[in-house]
Amino acid sequence: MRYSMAIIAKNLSKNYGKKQVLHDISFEIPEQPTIVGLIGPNGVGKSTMLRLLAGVLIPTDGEILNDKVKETYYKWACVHSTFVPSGERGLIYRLTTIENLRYFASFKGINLHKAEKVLRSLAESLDFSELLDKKFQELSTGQKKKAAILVGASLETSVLLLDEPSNGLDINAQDDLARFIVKLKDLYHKMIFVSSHDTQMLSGVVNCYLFFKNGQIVKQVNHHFSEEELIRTYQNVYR
Amino acid sequence: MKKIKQLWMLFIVQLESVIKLNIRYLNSTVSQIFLYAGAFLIVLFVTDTSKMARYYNSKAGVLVAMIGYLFWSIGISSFQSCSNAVEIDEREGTLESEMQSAYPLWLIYLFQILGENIIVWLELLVISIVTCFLSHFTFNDLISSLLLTFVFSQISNLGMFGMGMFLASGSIRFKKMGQWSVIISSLLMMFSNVFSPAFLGIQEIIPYVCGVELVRNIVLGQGFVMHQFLIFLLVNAAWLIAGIIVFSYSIKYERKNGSFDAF
Repeated sequence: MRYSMAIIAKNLSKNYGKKQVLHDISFEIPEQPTIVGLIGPNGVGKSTMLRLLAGVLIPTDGEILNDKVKETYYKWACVHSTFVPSGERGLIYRLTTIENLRYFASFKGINLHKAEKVLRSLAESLDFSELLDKKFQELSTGQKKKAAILVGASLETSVLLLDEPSNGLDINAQDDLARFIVKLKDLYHKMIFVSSHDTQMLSGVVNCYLFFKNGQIVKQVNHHFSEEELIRTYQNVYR
Repeated sequence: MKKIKQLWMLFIVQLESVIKLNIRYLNSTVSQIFLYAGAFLIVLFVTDTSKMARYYNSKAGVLVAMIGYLFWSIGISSFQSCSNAVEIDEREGTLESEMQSAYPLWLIYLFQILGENIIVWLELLVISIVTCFLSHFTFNDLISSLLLTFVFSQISNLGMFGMGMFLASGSIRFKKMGQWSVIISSLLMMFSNVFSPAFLGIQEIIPYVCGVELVRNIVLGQGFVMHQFLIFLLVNAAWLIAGIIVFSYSIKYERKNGSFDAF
C-alpha cells in the first residue's frame, strides 16, 4: 500500500548533556488519519520523543524524515505540527483561551478568523464554550488541560502531539476527551500522537502503539487493542 | 504579499497581547510608571546639568540631560525585555510553542518588544507632558525633543534589542540571569552620555550614544552631523545582527543538547 507521506525515524538518539534519554530508535508511521500511542513508565523518553516529533528538539544522532518534504524535518514540523505539553503549562496565564489561540495561530501564519471558528466549534465537543473568554489562570486544572488541547487542535496542523492529555481530567471529561481525539482524527484528518498512562483512553482511541523501555522502542503494534489486551501486553513488556 | 500580511498580523497580535497583559498586570504597569516618573523628576529638578550646559553652550542643560535619559530608559526597556520574555516563556511553558512557528523566535521577540516600546513611549509622553507644567520648558520644546528622540530611538532600540539578545541567550542556557540586566543597565548609564556629554570615541559602541548626540545637536540648533548618523546606523546594525546570530545559535544548541522543559 502506498501512503501519501510517512514520518520516519532512523536510528534516533537524544542526549540531554551527557545523559542519554533515547537511543537507536527507528519507526515508520504513515501520515494518514491515525492515533499513535506512546506507552511506557515514567522517564522512558515519551515526552522527549514528542518534542522531537514537534521539531522543538533536534536529535543528537540519527534523523527524523518526512519522506515527501525536502526541508529538514524540524523546520517542517515547526509549522505543520503542534505540541501540547503536559501539566498546566503551554498557554499564557492572563490571556483567555481565544486570546491564546490568536497568539499562537499568528505564529503559524494561520487565518485568525478561521482558527477562532474552528475553536468555537471544537469547544462544544468538550463542553468548553462557556469558558472560552475566561482567563487561563482562572480555569481549574482539568479546564486548563482542555484549553491547551483545544488551542493546539484549532491550529489545524497535520500532526498533533498530546503529552498526557487526560491528566487532571475527571472520568466524564476523560470520556469526552477520548471521543474528541477520535473526532479530530476523523473530521480533520489529523495524525495524533498521544503519550499517556490512561489505559482506558489509550485502548479506546489508539490504533498504533509504540512501547518505550529504557529509551528504546521495544514493541510496535499496528492495530487496535482492547483495554484488557493493552494491560496484558503492558505487563508482558514491563515485567 | 501574503507573507507581508502574515507578518503584519503577527505584529498586531503581539501588540494586542502586550496591551492586554499590561492592563491585566496593572500593579506592575503602575509601578513602572512611578519608576519612570520618579527618575524623570530627578533629572528635571535635582541633577546638576551645568556641565552639560557649558559643553553644549546652551542654557538648556536640563533638556539635553532629559534627552539622554529618554534614550537610556527606552533602550534598557528593550534590553531587559529580551531576557525577561525568555524567562517568563520558559516558566509558563510557552517557549516550546513559540518555537513551533513559521518565523524565527528572535522576530517574535522583536515584535513583542516593539509593542512594549510603544507602551513605554506612551507612558513617557504622559509623564513629560505633566512635568512640563512643573518645569520652565515650553510645551513645544518638550514635544519636539520627545518626537525627535522617539524617531532616533527606534534605531537605537534595535541595537539595544541586539544587546538584549546576548542576555536572552544566557537565559536560554542558564535559565535565570538574575540581576545581570540591572547591573549592565546601570553600567550603561554610568559609561554613556546620559547625564554627561560623550567624551570618548569608544562610547559610540553603545547603541544610543550617537543618537543622543544627534538629537541634542538638532534640538539646540547646532545642525545634523552626517558621519555621526552613519556611525549610529552601523553600530546598531552590528549589535542587532550579532545579537540575532548569538541568540539563534544558543537556541539551536539547546535544541540539540538541552531541554526547554526544565526551568
